[in-house]
Amino acid sequence: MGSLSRQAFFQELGSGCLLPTVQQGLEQVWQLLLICLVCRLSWRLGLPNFLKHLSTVVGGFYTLYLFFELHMVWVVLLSLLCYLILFLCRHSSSRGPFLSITILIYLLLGELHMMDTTTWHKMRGSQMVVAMKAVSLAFDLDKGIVDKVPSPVEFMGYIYFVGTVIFGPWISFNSYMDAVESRKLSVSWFMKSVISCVKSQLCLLISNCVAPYLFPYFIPVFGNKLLRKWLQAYENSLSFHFSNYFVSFLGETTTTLAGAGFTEEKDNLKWDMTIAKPLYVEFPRSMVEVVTSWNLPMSRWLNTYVFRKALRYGSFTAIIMTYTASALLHGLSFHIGAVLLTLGFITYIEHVLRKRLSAILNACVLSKRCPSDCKHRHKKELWVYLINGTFSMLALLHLTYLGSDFRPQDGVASHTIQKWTQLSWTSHWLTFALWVFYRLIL
Amino acid sequence: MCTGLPRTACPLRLIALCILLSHAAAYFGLTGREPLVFLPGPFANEPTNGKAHLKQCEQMTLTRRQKRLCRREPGLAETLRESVRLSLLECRYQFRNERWNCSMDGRGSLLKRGFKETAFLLAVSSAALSHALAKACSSGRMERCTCDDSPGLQHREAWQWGVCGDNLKYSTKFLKKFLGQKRVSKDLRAQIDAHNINVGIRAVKSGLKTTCKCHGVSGSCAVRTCWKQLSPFQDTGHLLKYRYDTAVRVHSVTNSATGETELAGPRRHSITLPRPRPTELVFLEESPSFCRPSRYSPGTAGRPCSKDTSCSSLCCGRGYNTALRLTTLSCHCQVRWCCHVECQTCLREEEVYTCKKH
Repeated sequence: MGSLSRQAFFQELGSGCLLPTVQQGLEQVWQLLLICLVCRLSWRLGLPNFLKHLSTVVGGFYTLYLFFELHMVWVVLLSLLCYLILFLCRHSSSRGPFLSITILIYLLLGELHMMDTTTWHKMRGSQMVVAMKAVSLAFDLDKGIVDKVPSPVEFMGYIYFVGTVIFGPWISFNSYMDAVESRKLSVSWFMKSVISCVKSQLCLLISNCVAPYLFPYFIPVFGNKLLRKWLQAYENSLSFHFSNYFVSFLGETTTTLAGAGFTEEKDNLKWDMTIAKPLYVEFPRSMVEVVTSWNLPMSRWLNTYVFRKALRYGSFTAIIMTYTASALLHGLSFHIGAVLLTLGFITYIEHVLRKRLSAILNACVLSKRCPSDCKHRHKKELWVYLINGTFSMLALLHLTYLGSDFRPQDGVASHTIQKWTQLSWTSHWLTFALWVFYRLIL
Repeated sequence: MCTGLPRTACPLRLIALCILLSHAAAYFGLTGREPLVFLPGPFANEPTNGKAHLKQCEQMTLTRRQKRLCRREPGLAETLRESVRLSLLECRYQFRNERWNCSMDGRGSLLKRGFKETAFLLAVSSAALSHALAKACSSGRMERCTCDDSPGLQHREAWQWGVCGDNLKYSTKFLKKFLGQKRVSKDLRAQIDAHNINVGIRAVKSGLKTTCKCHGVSGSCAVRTCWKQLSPFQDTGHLLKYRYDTAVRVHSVTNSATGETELAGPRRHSITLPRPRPTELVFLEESPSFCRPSRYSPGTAGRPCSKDTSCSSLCCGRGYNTALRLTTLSCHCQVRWCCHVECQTCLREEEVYTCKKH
């Protein structure tokens, strides 16, 4: 776009990008939002629970059809398979692991054999949410958190809950059953829905119309050849980030609109569902914080159902298994697998290094923010801020590096390798250097 | 009025008049009847006035019907001006190293013949007008064209950077109306001109690309935002130059079944090839050399050329003159925070080569 003057660029941007993006953004989701609202209102009519579950199943089916057309059968097949396993193993105490393996096999077969990549890629998000719901239900049954296998209509209501079926996020079965009880309509509920919707459209605009042209149109930094590569990588990364936030805020909107996503404390109801924390990702303290802030429900799910169960094999193994599980949920994409595995190493090494530095220096330099009553001696010295600032800069660099080659359609393995080579494998080398440093100060 | 002439003279005069009018009335821009004016008009800097375009329409050399269309559509005058500028700059750029360098001297004579150069002029003019109209549509300068908001949840594709598919469709339709292109014509020359105009329009269409971006859980494609983007006109010019270099000579064939005249491909070894493809430029006559001054061009005498690459062909074997010239150029440029570039000025002596006169 170098040939356009800045003024001409901004004129084109308004009519050519901002307007059609909002138009398309709303056009594709307004029916989903409407169905969520109708479902919520109908639940307030005092229907028996059976009909409430049934209504959200109908809404969920229709929504799946809207987005995926006949390909929705794969999502339906997955859910039927899950219920079959749960039912057949209803007297077993190992439903969690068994169901996990079954789902893994289904997803791998689907990826490799059953259909073309584009279609599978499109539904990947919904498949992931269904898989997470079923696995969490199975493990909760094993632990007695859910006391008996739900009825088919309850199970399907949970799986096809219209508020989460397309854009997520994962919610627990008990959260769903709470939602079915149907809280009162209120101003705070409505405002939460509207604000999340506005935020999602705003993020879509940033993803499409601001991030790709950040330099030099929005921020007049030109840079030489080397810097330009990193600036462009940052643009790609930012565009991908805000696409994720768009989906996250949209998920907040649909979930809240459909009546879930609240917390209740002693008759104090708060509609406070949060899926992503953009500020913690764009201005990170550490990569650990980035990883959890990217998608909080998924982070919670991975922590509860993968990480804690794998801790018996050691923390490093647990971390790698967690990232592997995350990669598998995302489908057999070399690119995503490579990014997540790299992310696993980066977060682990940063975590142990900062833990060690915190012990040696007796300072608040851990990966996570210290609570105000921690016992470290040094908290607000300048050098403490400098160390934390350095790690923040490193996190920004890692984010730019890892996010630099997300494309509308996933590319082949060579594209990832090529992009990282272009950036001189910087994050990999830096992570290795930090690991060496960590070994030196043990 | 024909009473004093022999009986056969009157029909001949009528035929000549018809031919003249049909040629004179048909085209615009580089292929228009009279010399071009593509500099900004006197109203370029005036605040937008409801009637300003009326004066602009009168100033341009258009046919009566074209002027009527121009007056009816407020944004058209500006668009026409832009398209003339586009086509002229692109033509000169693409032919900068050719013997015929898109000089406007001799253009009138050129347009009366069926050379390759004539074909290129027709194509680049229609392409530029098509391109400029599509841009004008998307930026709202043309009032009548609209982007068709047909329903379709995930297959609908809107626009970005200037063009939606419907804008291009509209501009194509308008273009044919403006140029007075008729559907069916038995005149061979008219068929050739229409064909070449369509090549230009098609070249613009082939540059329309659709890009989509996926949004969904973890980058899946539950939601897509798509847009069409028109290629820069330089790309279209480049494509048309390639079409020019691979243009096809045609001749007329009478279809024995219908009795109508049709275009047919080059005659080779007594076999007539099928009619030219819609993407091929076509011409009737081999071009003159363009070496010497003639009705069609001022010749190549005095043309600057590159010693190693283009002097031998451009100068038609006459050789070249060498001269020394001092030029200034920017050097040692640095980016200053924030945000401009500072350069020093260097002098450089360079040799300039120009073709000898005949």
